[in-house]
Amino acid sequence: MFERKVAIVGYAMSDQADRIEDTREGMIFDTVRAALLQAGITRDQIGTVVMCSNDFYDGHTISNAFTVEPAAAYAKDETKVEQDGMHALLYAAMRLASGNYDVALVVAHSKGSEFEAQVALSAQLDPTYDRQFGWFNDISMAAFQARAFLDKKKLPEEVLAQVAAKNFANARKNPKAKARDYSAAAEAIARSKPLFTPLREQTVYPVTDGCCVAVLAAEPKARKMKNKPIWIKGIGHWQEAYALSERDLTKMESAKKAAKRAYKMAGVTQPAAEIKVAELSEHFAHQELQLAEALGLCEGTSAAKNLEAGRFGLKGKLPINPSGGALSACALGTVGLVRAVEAAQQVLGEAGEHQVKGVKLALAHGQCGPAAQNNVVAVFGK
Amino acid sequence: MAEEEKKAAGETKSVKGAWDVKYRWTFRQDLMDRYVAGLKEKKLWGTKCHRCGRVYVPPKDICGKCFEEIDENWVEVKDRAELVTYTVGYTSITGQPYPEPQITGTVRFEGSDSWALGPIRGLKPEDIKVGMKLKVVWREETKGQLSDIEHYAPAE
Amino acid sequence: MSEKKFFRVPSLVTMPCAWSVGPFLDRFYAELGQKKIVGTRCPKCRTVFVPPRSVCGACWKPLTKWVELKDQGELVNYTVAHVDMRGAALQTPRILGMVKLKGGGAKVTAIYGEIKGVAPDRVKVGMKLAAVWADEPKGELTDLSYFQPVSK
Repeated sequence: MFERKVAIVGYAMSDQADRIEDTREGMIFDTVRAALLQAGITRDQIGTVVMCSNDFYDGHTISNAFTVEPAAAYAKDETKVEQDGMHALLYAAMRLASGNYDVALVVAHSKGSEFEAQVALSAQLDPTYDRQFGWFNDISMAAFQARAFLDKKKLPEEVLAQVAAKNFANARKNPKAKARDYSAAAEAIARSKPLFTPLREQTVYPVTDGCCVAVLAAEPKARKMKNKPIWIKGIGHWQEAYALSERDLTKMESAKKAAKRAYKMAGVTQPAAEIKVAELSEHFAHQELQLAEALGLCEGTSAAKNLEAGRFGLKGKLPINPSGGALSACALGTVGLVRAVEAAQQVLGEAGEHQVKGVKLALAHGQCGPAAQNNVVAVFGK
Repeated sequence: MAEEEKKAAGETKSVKGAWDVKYRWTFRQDLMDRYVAGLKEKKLWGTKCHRCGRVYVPPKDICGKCFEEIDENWVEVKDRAELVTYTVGYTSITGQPYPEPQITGTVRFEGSDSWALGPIRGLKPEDIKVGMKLKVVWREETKGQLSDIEHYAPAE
Repeated sequence: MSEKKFFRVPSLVTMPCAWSVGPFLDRFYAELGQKKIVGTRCPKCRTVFVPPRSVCGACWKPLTKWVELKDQGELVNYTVAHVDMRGAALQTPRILGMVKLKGGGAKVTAIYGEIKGVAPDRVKVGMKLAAVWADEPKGELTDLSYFQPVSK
């Protein structure tokens, strides 16, 4: 439980696309400026800045040293996490809850068009054993999880294409998502280029450039800001074993535990009924189904059945990823923060064409590590 | 050390790998073009913050101190500089000894508020002093490259 | 407003590394050189970790009991790779498997290995596999060359 309540009071995000016509610094500067403007604050009012990026993505160590100035962190208390933007949001919220600061800036960014994503991501794996095989990257690791889940649930591979098709349809209504052609229907997605079975080109995240910024404030300050505060009602974080062979890949135990903590803090007892929209970091299509089950968002026990019944669609009872999710656009390290900002927009009624009606409570999820080893779940509301 | 000795000392098997990633970093071409075009004419151009008036050489497009974009506000500075600080290197960055000590300085051009790094030649390590006046020694035939500034030397 | 122009500078960051594998993997690799696969057993939950771990994360117990596994087991998970690690298309798809070895009791963590001798569209979870060893093992990961179906 936080000693002081913390809210999102401002946000901005860049297009999630190859931003060849932009430097990293320019992209961050423009997005942070937009967020400050949207929040109605100046740089002087920011107490602390938490960034999310990754040295391997940026190509040099302690890479935040180079982005201090565009991130409005000059001469401020600034730090970086190398997990996901949602983790950055968690740590920024804790800095505010501690009472040391009133306003925090959360800045997540990466330029996927500038590096070999899967090579950089393979650096997260154990070098003394896993990496020695030479075939592991983020996708092949997740492929084992997909296979385990589909087999356990006796689901055909086509269900993965159905997840992607739903999210692509949503992405067509999201002007920020510009990573692929979103016109493909499930049949075509199911025939897209195989990578590591059962995962295919269109059931795996497309790596893009992007920057996402959230302005957080603690009460009482949060109530005096220009925008209506969207409170972090609950937040939970959990981690499981690194090695796939030491986990039950059919479940997402750490996501489940993270959600349990978030729900307890938020006073949510019936998530499937109380949560009105969920933005999940489904880096791979199967993960959306696994997460929906782990987070208790299904009617019954089968996410695939909920999907098929249209319950997770934009007009369904509990829309999942109305933004299009990570399958539609994925600037590595920003994904969870994008989900949090999307969730806040849904509560505010500012989500535009992909707005869900009457959202009181929205859920956002972030993850990192091979096959979603580490998960953060947050519940947002007015 | 022989394998047996390593074992006895508690060393374990070593496996190899690499941080081996290809990158394509993006830079502002218009800023760099203008800067190196100046170098070709043996001139130093920088950008000046609209708000605080700080001059950055080489040019920057963001004044982080003011959180302001610097747009088309070019100023010329002199090719004379003050030594802000320095270090005397006896080995290369990989640890190989230099035949002669190499002085690397941080210099501030007259009219600039930022610092530039570069080699200093023409004096012995014991004669160098923070605050001393330096001049830019240009390459004889400048080409519009960063290496047009060959080094810095004491001003007469 | 000036017209911004951008250029991209290709760069390869190469930093060679060498990692000491530590005493547990050191023994594991050495045993591979003897065509043996070993793991460590948790005294509390009885899980056998292959390759060996020094500690059981769930029970937070140090692992000191070594177990030798059989070089045969069952396929518990697999993926068919159509691309390599960098994303380049493979001429021939490869089957990458997770194999649960026999000889360690009920709870044995699966080991990674390539599966050969079966077509990608015929591979099945649950199939029985046997390790194929290098002719001259050297205490390297590649000593265990791959797994292939046990002939009936």
